[in-house]
Amino acid sequence: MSLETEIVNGSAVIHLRDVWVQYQLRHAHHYNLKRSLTNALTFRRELPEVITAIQSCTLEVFAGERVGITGSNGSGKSTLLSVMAGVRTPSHGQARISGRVLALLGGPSQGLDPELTGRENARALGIRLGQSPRQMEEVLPEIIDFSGLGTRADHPVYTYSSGMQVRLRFSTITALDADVLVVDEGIGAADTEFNERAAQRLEAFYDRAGILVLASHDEGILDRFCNRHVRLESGSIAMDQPT
Amino acid sequence: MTTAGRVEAPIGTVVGGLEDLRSGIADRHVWWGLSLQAVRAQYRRTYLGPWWITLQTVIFIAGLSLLFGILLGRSMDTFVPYVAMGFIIFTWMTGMIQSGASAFTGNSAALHTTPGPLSVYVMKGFATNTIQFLHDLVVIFAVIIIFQVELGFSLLFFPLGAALIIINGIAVGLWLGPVVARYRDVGQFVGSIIRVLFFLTPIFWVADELSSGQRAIVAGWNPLAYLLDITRSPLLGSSPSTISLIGAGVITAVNVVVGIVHFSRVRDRLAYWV
Repeated sequence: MSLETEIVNGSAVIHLRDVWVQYQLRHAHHYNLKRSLTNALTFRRELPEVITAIQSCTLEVFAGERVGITGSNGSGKSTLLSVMAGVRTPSHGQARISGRVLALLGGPSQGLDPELTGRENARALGIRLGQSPRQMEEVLPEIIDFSGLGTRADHPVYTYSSGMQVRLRFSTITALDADVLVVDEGIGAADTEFNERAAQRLEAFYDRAGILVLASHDEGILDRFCNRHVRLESGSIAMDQPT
Repeated sequence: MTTAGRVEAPIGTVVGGLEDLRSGIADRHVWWGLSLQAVRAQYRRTYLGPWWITLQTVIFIAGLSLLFGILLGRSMDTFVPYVAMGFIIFTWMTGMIQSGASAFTGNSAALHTTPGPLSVYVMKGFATNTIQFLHDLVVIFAVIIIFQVELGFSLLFFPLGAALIIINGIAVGLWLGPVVARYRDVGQFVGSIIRVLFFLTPIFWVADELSSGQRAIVAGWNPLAYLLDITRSPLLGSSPSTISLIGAGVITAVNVVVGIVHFSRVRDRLAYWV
């Protein structure tokens, strides 16, 4: 099915060569027992629909680059990000990601347990991303401080607005050591004051020669955070230029 | 698809699958943390918390012992320990089968957002059920004391049985988890077969009391019966039968090979199936 996805040690590089992401979509009628039996008896085959989410993407990102990915809904931004994060294996082509990857994918509440407090969630999230409990205890005060949640950090997350959830996740993930940071949307939900501090924090990350990949609809955010702009159209790279 | 920045593993090969498994087991903070959270989440906003596990076991064992003890005319002194040990070990084993079946479908959100070894989700199932078993261990101790079970050197078989249960639980997750992710009907089937297994496994009846023909039909084909014998007998002061030891060895070997081979083959496609 696929060639290889490798995440190797060394300085941060993302290397995508002719990456395709295709998957089979089975509709409800593919699971219809009566229809399946009838098809089997009449030697008729109904193949699942093949969805092409990414086609022939070739992209090289080097240490110190901050890539902003734009594109309309369904243009493949999230899929490309999940390939870059090493979560999804390309169905064709080669993806190499070197360095330690941290990813903020999915909606604002993704990976948060609504019943746990903000502090407990930050700890659990960090541990899930490979930190030891002791390392998390060390960075926890700084995370809570940066999130600006104050006393709300000890309230359960189901009482949080989506903006607060974004702040918590963003603060946690950027407090950890990473060479490659992949962020899908989301940042837009936080308020202006937080976005300003977030931008500063990402600049510090950039100074450490990390790679940032950020997907968003908000051109303003991309101008603020990124120095390279990639636009996707129906799963292909339509534009790739410095900003 | 491997742990970010730490390992390198080719896709679709057993080497890759083993590397995933190795780093998955090594990420003990991840699966331990996930499983603790899962157990706490289940008993959230209750006063007893996870001690409900213990209490539920006590209630069930009491009911079962009373009903079948009277129906079958058993002496409670020996019947209660037999039922208690059997039921607790059975719950542990089938819990791991069910967690294994839903290892990937049940963790799809994490799987889609967190880079890392996929075997972590199988390990989470093992850990969750073992945390529950540790709560049940209190009941085992209480039964041993209250019913004055005489333990002997055969107790040394208990760690062997427990280890086999754990190895098989993880191996089942490695092959059954991907199968259920691809064919969801299998998940429904597993749920219903486990309910039947409760009656087909010697928990409230004794296999030795059946004729050899009956035993072959009811328990001979049942892998759980062998593992149960090795783990339960030591807790009742007797030794497991040689047949159980051989049977469990064969089952474990097959299970481990099938688990590693199947997991290795489909690892890179799992993210597309869930």
